[in-house]
Amino acid sequence: MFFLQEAPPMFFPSPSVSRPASQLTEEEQVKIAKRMGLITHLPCGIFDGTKKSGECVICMIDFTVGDRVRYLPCMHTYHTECIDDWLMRSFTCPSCLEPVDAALLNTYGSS
Amino acid sequence: MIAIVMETQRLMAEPVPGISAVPDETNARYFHVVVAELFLPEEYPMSAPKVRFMTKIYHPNIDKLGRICLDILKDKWSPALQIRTVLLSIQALLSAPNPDDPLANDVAELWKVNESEAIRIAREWTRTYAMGN
Repeated sequence: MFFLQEAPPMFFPSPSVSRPASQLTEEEQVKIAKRMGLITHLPCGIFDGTKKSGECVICMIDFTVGDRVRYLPCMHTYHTECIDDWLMRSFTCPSCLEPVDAALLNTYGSS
Repeated sequence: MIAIVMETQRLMAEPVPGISAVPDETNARYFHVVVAELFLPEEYPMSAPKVRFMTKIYHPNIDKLGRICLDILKDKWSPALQIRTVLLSIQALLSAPNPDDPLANDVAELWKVNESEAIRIAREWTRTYAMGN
């Protein structure tokens, strides 16, 4: 009987560094936890086809009705799965390189 | 992996002018690029392609091992970039060397004090190593 052992999830304390949770320093754990929290505050939705369609520039696949999408403060849209994977490495928009946290804090400040 | 197939199809249909990039027959992540090699790591497009010059080249931003000093291959990588944009950036770097951010210090030094001599050597190296005569 074989059991496939799943690889432990990797975290990215900085874009080029990947480590499993067990090898993160306390400071890195805090940074990553904050990052995960911020990501959940970004609006997301289901692509319903009413707005102009296009492709997710990360996976290069067209959005289809029912896809889970996330909207960044700069108004760029990606598949939730694609952008979340990137945001855990770098908190910037892949298309305009705008830092997402600055834009997020601005939104809070003005509302 | 689907993204790599899509991207490869587009790259074959509309190649970058002046650069030939051909996928390896047995490894879809490996590309033969004129005088360079390009490898898409497991994490691509979340991490940058690895690009290296296979022939010697006289350029202030490329070292003896063919490693390239280019921001988008390091900390300025974005998953919205593609093989096409990487090739275009390398092409731009080749035509506009940046001796103020050098990787090959001796080359950068000559580029700053005697640009015409540096360009002469670069031409000679290209003839010798890239064109094979």
